Amino acid sequence: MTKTSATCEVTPSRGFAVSGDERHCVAEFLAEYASWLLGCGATCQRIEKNTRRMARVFGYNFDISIMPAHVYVSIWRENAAKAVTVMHKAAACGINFALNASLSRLSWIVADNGLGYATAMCRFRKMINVKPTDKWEVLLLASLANASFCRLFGGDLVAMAIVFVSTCAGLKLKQIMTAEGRDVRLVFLCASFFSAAISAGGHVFSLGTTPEVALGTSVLYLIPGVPYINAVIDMLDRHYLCAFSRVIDAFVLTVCLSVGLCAGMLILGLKWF
Amino acid sequence: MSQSVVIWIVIATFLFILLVYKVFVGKHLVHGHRHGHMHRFKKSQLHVLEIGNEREMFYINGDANDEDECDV
Repeated sequence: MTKTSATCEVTPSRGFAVSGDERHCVAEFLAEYASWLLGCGATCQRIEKNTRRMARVFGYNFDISIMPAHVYVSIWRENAAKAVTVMHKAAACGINFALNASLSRLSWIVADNGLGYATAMCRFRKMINVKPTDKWEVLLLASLANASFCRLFGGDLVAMAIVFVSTCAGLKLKQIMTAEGRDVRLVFLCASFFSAAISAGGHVFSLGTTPEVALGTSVLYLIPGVPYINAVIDMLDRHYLCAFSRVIDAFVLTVCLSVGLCAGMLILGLKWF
Repeated sequence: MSQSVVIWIVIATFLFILLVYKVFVGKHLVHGHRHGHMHRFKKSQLHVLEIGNEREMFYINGDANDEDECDV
């Protein structure tokens, strides 16, 4: 097995020349590509299909093993006993649908145009270095979306305004704590506690006619929906290990946000039922 | 004023101050650090309570680098 720190360098100035053994470089590229897909929230099926598509274009037989936090990629030409295997840790990029879509698109561009490894690598580097969506933009849109959720569940305009403010406050706290490297479970607990406590203002000050809807929907932005959906898809596709890993991760986060919500209600003396 | 109202005001005020500090004052400090003013502030800063992150918990005195390449 090859360690991931192989000396694969694409040098555009020299016409995309590849230094070192090409098999190792291709294997490393495919492993890194798969690790980014895994990190940005792609299902195992998508990771396998996309990576296999590119390996086929590069002229290699291919197999992949996807673990909850790592991927193993093996490529070979004729003799599987001489396969090059590379392991790569899942990229810590967070759920990112834009990156997920662009990485998938890359595999189709490579397949449709028969691009070589070096060009694919070059495009891959550009894709993963794209600046993420602005935090303030995310804050505004997520708050509006959560306020809309409140409306869908029957909340009035006052409840929507309360949810908007509580989501803004909780999500900003989540962004700050995440940027500081705090444990994700603590982040979820704190964000849900403060969002629930702020939205409980509807009850405390008797604002609007549906304060209970505002309280219930104020923490919806924290529900880890993508891991839950991916877990079901992985389970249907018989990737049980990844499926259970994702569902347990999501379950732990759901418990944390529930604890925060309950703590907020308990401290403010609200009735549970 | 009922107990719930007092608790709500305390929580909301705490969160408001925290966010304002982190978003505006924190940014100012980082800006000051870039211009070499952070050192003076650090000396006068009093840490009553501090929550450590994972890197600090696993840091061992005598390590060549406190920057671990695994910390991403």
